[in-house]
Amino acid sequence: MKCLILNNLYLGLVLETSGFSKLSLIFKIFIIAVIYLIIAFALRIMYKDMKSGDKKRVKIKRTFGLEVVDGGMNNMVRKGSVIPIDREVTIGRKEDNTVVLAEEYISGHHARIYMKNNNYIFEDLNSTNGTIVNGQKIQEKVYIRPGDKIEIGTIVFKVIG
Amino acid sequence: MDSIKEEKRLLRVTYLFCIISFFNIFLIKTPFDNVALIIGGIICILMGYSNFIVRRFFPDGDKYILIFACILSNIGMVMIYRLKPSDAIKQIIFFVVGIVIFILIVVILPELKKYVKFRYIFLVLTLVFISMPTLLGAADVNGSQNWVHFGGFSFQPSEFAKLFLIAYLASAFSKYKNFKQLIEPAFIVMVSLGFMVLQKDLGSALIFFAISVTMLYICTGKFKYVLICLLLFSAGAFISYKLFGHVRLRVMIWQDPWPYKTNQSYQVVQSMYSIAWGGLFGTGLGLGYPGFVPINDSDFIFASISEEMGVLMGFAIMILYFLLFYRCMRAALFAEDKFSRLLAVGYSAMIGAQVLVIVGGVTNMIPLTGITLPLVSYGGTSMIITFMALGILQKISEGGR
Repeated sequence: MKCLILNNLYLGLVLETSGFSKLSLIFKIFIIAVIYLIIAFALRIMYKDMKSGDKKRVKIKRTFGLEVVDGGMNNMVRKGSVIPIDREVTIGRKEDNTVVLAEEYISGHHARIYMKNNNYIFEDLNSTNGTIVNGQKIQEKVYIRPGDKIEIGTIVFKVIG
Repeated sequence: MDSIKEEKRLLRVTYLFCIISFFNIFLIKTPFDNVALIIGGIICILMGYSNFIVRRFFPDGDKYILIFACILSNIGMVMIYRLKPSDAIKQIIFFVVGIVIFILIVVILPELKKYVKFRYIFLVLTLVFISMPTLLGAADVNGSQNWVHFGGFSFQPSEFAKLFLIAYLASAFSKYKNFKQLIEPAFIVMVSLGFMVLQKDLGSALIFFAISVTMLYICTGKFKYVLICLLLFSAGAFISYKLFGHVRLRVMIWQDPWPYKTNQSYQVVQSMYSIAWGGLFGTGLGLGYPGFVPINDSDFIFASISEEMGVLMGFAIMILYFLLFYRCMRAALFAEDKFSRLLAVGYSAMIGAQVLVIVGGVTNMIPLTGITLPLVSYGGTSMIITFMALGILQKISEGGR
């Protein structure tokens, strides 16, 4: 214990000899000011965040969509029409999908396209007949880029963007 | 666009804080300590680069979790450098490892939903880590047996157990339908608490309990379960008070530390002197005597910071933790599935509980138990574990889609 105290007094003396150590008296004010500035900025951001409510995504500048290349056997969709993709698009036979394609090879909830970290992801929702992207049957999900060819049932889409 | 600008402004002020505080340390030493400036620069670059990666490649996630974590680690490193420069260099290595782990988790980990089915793996890992010190016969470090040594390498398994326990509880609670599903997790929690008390690691026991109760309440929404837990906890606390000497000692010190200030309660009394001596604005870096406080760079770092940088800095740390906690809970709000939500709640509760327990401890508001102040304290295990938890939270904040 004594050793500890002596050690500390020694340390204190060494520090005392430095002529600049008194500057700490000024610096401590600056340090506290800066940390509260950080808190103030952070609180401001939090406040704005709370006001805007729901998680607002950054607006997407480029357009992204699916162009119909082949309308399929029932000619459900016209060739050349474009399905724009904003944040999320679901494809399937049932009425509650964003894009309803009534074709017998398409499952009730067939697929979902969504955006994550500036990339678009195509997710196959365990459909019966699957989805073929660029000639390959996909497992669960893949990243899609402009130019990719997506086959759902007999309908063929091309990714444009 | 606007939010990115504000975020950059926040980061710039953080760099300013880092530079000012390390410049201060540079000045107080004779001769001038160039290493302090180099370290300050390194920390700035690290913070900038890691935030750049998160902002550039993962814009859907929460960017503020990492910023707050960096500010808190920065405060810690300033204080550790002032106290023990050699430890500060190790701490920076831990900080780097922590950030690398954080980014790796965000990059590599697939969607968290898939981990629900690893319930029993989590269970086994929890029990392995929690029983490790008891079974391997760990040595006493500062009065508790919670360290395990492998060659020259030592770590606290209870910290890892905490991570796995939360994962296990999240996966078990996500299957909750009625009371029956709660029996197994309750049993596991009790076993863990028992091991903690045996290892004299009361702080961790308290945190384990706090996390479990929080997750239980979030999952079931029934207050009566919380009440039952509290009753059981009081019973357990009473029994361990009667059975174990070290529990009685802690409570005795807590009730009245002054008569034993030269021996049993030396730590907490010195810590209180230290905080009081600093006052509102502190003594200034290098002008206080934090050397009187034992373990001043780990468990008692809050006391050292309050002495040299003022109670105002202590408040600031608490506010920053609150903001970090808020961001973490926000990730839980936007999580899609129950497992991710419970996981997020568990990890945020872990950080929050740890802060309350140790800050309450060093100010003698609650019985003192030796645990680290996450991110601020010196300690590799604590740093890495906290960054792992934050990485998972960051992943959850991206949202399931």
